[in-house]
Amino acid sequence: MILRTFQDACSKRKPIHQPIHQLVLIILMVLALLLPAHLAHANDAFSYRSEQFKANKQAMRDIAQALSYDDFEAISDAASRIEDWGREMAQYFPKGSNPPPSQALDAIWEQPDAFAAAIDRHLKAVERLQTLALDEDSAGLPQAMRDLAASCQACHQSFRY
Amino acid sequence: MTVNRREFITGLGSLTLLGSPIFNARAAKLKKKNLVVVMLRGGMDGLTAIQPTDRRMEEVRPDILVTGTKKLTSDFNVHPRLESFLSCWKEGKAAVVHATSIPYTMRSHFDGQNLMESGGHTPYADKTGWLGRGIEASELGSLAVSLPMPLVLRGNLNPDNYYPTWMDMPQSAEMRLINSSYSEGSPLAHTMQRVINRPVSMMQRFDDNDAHLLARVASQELSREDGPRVAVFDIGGFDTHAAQGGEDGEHGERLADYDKVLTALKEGLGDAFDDTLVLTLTEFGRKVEQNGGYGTEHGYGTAILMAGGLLKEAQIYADWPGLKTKHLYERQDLNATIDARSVYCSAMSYCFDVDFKTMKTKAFFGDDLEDLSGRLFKA
Repeated sequence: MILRTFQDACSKRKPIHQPIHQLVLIILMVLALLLPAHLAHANDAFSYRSEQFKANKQAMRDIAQALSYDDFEAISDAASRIEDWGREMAQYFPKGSNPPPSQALDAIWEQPDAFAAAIDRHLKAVERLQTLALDEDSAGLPQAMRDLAASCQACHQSFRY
Repeated sequence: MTVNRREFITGLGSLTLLGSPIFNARAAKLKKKNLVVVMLRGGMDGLTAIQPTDRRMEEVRPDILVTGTKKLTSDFNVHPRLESFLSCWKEGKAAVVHATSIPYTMRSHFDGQNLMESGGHTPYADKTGWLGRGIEASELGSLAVSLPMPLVLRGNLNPDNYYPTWMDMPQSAEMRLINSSYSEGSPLAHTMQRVINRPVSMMQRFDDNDAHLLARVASQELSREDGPRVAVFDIGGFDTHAAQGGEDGEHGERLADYDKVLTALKEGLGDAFDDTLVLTLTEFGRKVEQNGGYGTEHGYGTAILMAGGLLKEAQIYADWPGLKTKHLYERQDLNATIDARSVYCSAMSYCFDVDFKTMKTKAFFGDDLEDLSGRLFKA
């Protein structure tokens, strides 16, 4: 009885437009296949950049320590590590790679030019520090370090909560 | 200056402290008072550690307000993870300086940490630290158990330092063989000779790296009448932009790390805890209002947690600025009404028996600091 009622109800429906139905199905299947890959990529990117930022923090500490010793080689070495990460940083921020615990703000993708400019300022600051370290310019290095720290902080203020 | 004794020790990461000190004449004459500085890196939130009983806290921190706090005074409660601190408070051996900071307001960790250690005015401009300069002013010798020497302990006359290792140390015969390859009188030969002359206990391997385990060893050394008198610990992770939490969040965990160090020191020092002062040091506090990630941003005013039997009484010492927006620094941070350097300078003057003015001149460039010894420490 229940079955017959259901069949009756179905028979009264408008016929389904078969090609559109299939297209929707295909799109859903493709999305189902791509979504985990995208999420995995985003997750990998987050994990990788988290490690890199931790290493960056250590490099900054190394520079701060080396400044008090005028250890120009150590300053240059740590600055190189910061520069290397700075150059590849942008590619590890794929869109949407900021679910918690990421602290990245959507502003990264909403204002790509501003984000790129912030990275550029950071790179210029670290290049300047490196140059001064190679020149063994102990008088100029403290200001260069302050500028580098400010470039980190500026990015945190605009693109991280 | 060649230093062959240990007057201070420092705990940082995977290090410990071993060895047998030889005192200089001045140290032998003085009653031994230990000074322990615990650096809390990342910006310790004074409003989380010592929470004011102000309704404004509920408004600005609806998701991270600490519940389960314990009452200290009618105006302030302590975080529930600071159990040992509370226990000291009940014995009259804990106190707080609130609404304080080093005079740095730019909210950068790197700059701030440099200044909290150097005690200077411009980041990276000074190559010595306030504690190192203070020890020099006291004319007490020193040896740091750390590689490299932490900035806070660096003086103009570089003291000796070493770092315990997880590797087996070479035998004496091997050391002498290595030393023989250096020309006599060379800096390398001098360094090698210094290493060879060290007590056997300093040459042992040590694997532990937990700060509270280290504190246990440190307390044994500090408790000896002829042992070192200064220790520095370093705890990181207070930069809680996200998931700061209330009772059990990230910030609470880090406070618990500090509390474990305090527990180990108190237990290990025994009676010597009465001749000890334990102070915290951080680069800045955190903003009053929580952010979108259930954390807090970098701020300004914070608190100094103090413990030990040298404290005058259990008290919250503050010129409380209030939490209304108009009272906040830049309308967002707890204001600092007490220069934290006044507390550190007073502590060094008191523990090292050096008059405040001399200490201020030698350790803090003669800056306009207030002598708080009489208000904070026992007469």
